[in-house]
Amino acid sequence: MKNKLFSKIHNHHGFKHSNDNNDLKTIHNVKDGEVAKIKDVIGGKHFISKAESLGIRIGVQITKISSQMMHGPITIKVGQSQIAIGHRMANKIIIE
Amino acid sequence: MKKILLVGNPNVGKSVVFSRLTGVHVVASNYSGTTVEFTKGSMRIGLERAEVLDIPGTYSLSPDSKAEQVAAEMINNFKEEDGNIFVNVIDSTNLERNLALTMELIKKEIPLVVCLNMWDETKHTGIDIDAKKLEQILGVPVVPTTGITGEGIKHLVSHFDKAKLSIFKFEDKWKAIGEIIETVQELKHRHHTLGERLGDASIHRFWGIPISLIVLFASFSIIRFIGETLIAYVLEPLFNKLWAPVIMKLSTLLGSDGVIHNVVIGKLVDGQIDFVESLGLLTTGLFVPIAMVLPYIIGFYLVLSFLEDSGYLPRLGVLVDNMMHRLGIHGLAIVPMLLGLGCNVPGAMAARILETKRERFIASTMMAIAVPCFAQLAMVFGLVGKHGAVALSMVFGTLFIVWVLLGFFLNKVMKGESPEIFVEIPPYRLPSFNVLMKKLWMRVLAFIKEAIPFMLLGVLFMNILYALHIIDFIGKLTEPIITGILGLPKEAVGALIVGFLRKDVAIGMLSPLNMSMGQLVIASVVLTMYFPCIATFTVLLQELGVKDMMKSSAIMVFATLLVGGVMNIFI
Repeated sequence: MKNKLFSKIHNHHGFKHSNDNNDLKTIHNVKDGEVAKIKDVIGGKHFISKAESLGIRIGVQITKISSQMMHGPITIKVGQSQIAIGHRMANKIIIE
Repeated sequence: MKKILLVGNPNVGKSVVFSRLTGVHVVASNYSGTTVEFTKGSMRIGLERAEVLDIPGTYSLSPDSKAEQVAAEMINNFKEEDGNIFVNVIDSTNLERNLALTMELIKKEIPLVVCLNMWDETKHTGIDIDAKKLEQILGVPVVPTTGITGEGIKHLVSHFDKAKLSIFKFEDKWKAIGEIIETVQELKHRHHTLGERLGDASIHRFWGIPISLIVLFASFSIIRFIGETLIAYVLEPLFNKLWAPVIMKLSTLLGSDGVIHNVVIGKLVDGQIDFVESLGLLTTGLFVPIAMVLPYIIGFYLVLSFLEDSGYLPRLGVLVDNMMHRLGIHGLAIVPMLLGLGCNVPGAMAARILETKRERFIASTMMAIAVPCFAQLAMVFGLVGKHGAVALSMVFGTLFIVWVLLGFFLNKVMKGESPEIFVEIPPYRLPSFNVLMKKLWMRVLAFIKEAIPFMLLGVLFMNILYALHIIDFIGKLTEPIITGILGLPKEAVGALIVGFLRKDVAIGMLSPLNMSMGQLVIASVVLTMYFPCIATFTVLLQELGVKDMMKSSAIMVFATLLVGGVMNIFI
């Protein structure tokens, strides 16, 4: 189910990403309290625009606050606000 | 008439500004999506009257949830006529993100005023915004306000006449916003506040759950304490010492028996009034909602309002997200569920914050079936309370299992997949005492307006049904189900019939039947599950549509018979 869903996702450069994103660092790879810069946001137009309206866009600095156990959501700080992001959605936010 | 549309991101304080402008009180909380429909109010500007509209918050004009859809439609259909204006309410501590919507509003070419709300918070968060400069760049009035204290509101109103079309031109939205931020905002370095540390701890992967358990335990203890204190020291003395003698005099006047006596006062138990079992309009009809349910409602809404205004609820949503996701809804659905514990009606409305129809269907059905509202809680305590903790935990344990299984089942059989949580977490704020009290008053008033008329109607209806022997008749008809499947005495059907109107009437109707503990447990579960109440049903019908509501109702009936039947076999 998961893999099927992810194989459907293309980023806007036309590359496919697997579920693991082995080659790419996502916000899952950032430790709590660490700062990172967003390199890319992949996924559907709808997701990208929602992310953008919450301040999550290319070139923006984020601080990871926490992640919940058992594939729970990730919380990050963007600008002055905190955003909670579902586990699989967090896979689509690539950092440098 | 001139219209003023309050537009802004979620949780920027639009509803607080709205209350300040119009004097109309609407519920405001510290999380995204408190307002799920629009509210109209009016205000006077000079000699003119203007209509003010408070709409749900939205990040952009392409909506994500039903609440945002309400907002986007109202913004898109807003016409430039009669001096109509947009008032763009902005959270000053989040200027950059909030300006994205401002840019979209500029393109709508409707006169605009920008309100930099939460101005007081910029001071201790080390943000310095040059409002004058922003005004020059945008070419529209920019007014700092603090909605919660009312600071700057008069100033804001005096600028409504000066609303203009913006002169600001841009190609790339984010580049333009970046440049604006560069010029008007300065950030100072500062240390983490206690609130932020607390905020981080409450969503910490290890500390989050223990903290939530403490919060929930404290909440229940406070609700119980407030409820029990009000009952023991205020309401029971009031009814027993003041009201009972009056009713006894009236009873003698009415001849202690007869049709009118039975409707108004009810049946005397051992020559005395029994406020629970007499079942008259002036006895049970008033006692149950006022002396049994209201005290807990006051405690519940006080605690809930505090949790809402502090900003804890979305964090609780984050903690329970992965469990809830298995049930087809995400963590934020904790908000409609908690509201539903008070009364299913606002709970059903709050389901609008969920993004998809699928989630709204699952959440509403789970709530209507397995989340007991306070009338239902009062009924459960009234029926099985005397059998102690074991009986109570059998009822609530069953309801919780039903809640989980129902979500799990619906998530499996329904097409599609529910979206994950993706939401802003507000900063912790110390709730304002005045705001808290106003909110409590509004909610308690709404309860009284809803509960007392329905309760009285329920008692009246029940008396008519008994007097015309209709309950006996239906009792015989439904005996195979009520007795055969559920194992309850056939007279219990009366409680189910009147339960369409109000569940708490059932306490008085079932108590005289001398049911066993097992039967009372089954009756409590069945009465909670089979149908929410007519008021909730109406709202759900409007929210889900006829077709989905029919599906939901079919699930209610089927689940009730299944659960009741299984319990009857095992108990």
